[in-house]
Amino acid sequence: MVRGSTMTISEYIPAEHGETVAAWWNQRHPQTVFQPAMLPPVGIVGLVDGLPVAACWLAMTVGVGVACLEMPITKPRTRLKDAKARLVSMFDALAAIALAHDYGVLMVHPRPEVRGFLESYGFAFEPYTYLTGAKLLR
Amino acid sequence: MPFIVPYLGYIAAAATVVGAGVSAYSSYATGKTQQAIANYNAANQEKNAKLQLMQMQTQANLQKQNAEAQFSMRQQEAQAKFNNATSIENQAEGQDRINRANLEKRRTEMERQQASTRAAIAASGAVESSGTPLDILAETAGTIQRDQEEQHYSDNLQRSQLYREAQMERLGGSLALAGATLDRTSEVVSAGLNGVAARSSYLAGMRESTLTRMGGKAAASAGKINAGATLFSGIGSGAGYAAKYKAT
Repeated sequence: MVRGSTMTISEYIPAEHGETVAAWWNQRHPQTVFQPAMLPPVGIVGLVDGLPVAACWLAMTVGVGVACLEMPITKPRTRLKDAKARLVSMFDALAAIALAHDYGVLMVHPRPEVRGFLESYGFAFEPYTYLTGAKLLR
Repeated sequence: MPFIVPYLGYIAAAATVVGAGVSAYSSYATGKTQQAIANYNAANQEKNAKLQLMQMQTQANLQKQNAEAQFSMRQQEAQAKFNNATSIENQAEGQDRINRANLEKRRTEMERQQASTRAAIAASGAVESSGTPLDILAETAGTIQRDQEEQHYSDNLQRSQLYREAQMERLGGSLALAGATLDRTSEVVSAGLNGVAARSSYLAGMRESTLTRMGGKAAASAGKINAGATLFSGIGSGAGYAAKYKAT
């Protein structure tokens, strides 16, 4: 599955990856507590040489083809350039999953400091509050 | 209150079926998700395999080009040695001509000296065909002969040394050329093998991606089958509920 140091995508399996991702989350966001019960059912982890390096979830609304990217996170102490590249791959994979389920719109509700990165990925932000970003998948 | 009971039964039965529907959708959705992940990974594997193929092929081509360039350079070096050998031979021939001319000049000079000696003897009234004058003339002739032989020997030695040097230079050129040819052949063969290895690695990568895709398809099929099974068991239990409450 893994060739060299290329990242491959795997489903998020709570028993396998939960502890690692919770540790990342608590290290990166000590002011909040990681709540596994709040995670949407569709989650993926990025693996490099079989070890998790990033995780992200997709909350799929019922009846409307809109899915939200949730709780993207990378392994702490990852170089910014690598973290961005890995998140782009994670978003691409989640977009592919969304499309496979006939969901045509991705949405994000990010913190202000990552808006630029998300805009460079193709998200357009709502012009009044600038809080919600959307990306058409087709 | 008693008339509510059957309705509750029907509601419970309906809820079970709806639950089964949701559950069926979830199994199906999981299969689809797994297939999408597998396809994404397979596409990445294909991309990497292609990239690796291009890199390895470029490397093999560079190796071949480098081998040719090295060969060309060493061929020029060998040619320079051949040219050098020819130049040394030319030098030897030139020197030979000079030496021959010098020898001839020396002989003439010495013969002239001998003639002067003869004239001096004749002027003194001595007879040159006997006694000391004869000895003097004989010694002079011997000296001239020895000098000529020594000069000739020395010239020959110089000539053979130059020709040997030229031969060694030519041999060096031939060996350098043979070595360069061998190295080039070896490098070109190695580059060819690297090219084959690249192709083989690419095919392995593509097979791997096909397997990944097939894994995703299998997950999707399993999801569909599970969806059917869940729906059947859901309907079954719903019917069971209905039957139970009807009987009550």
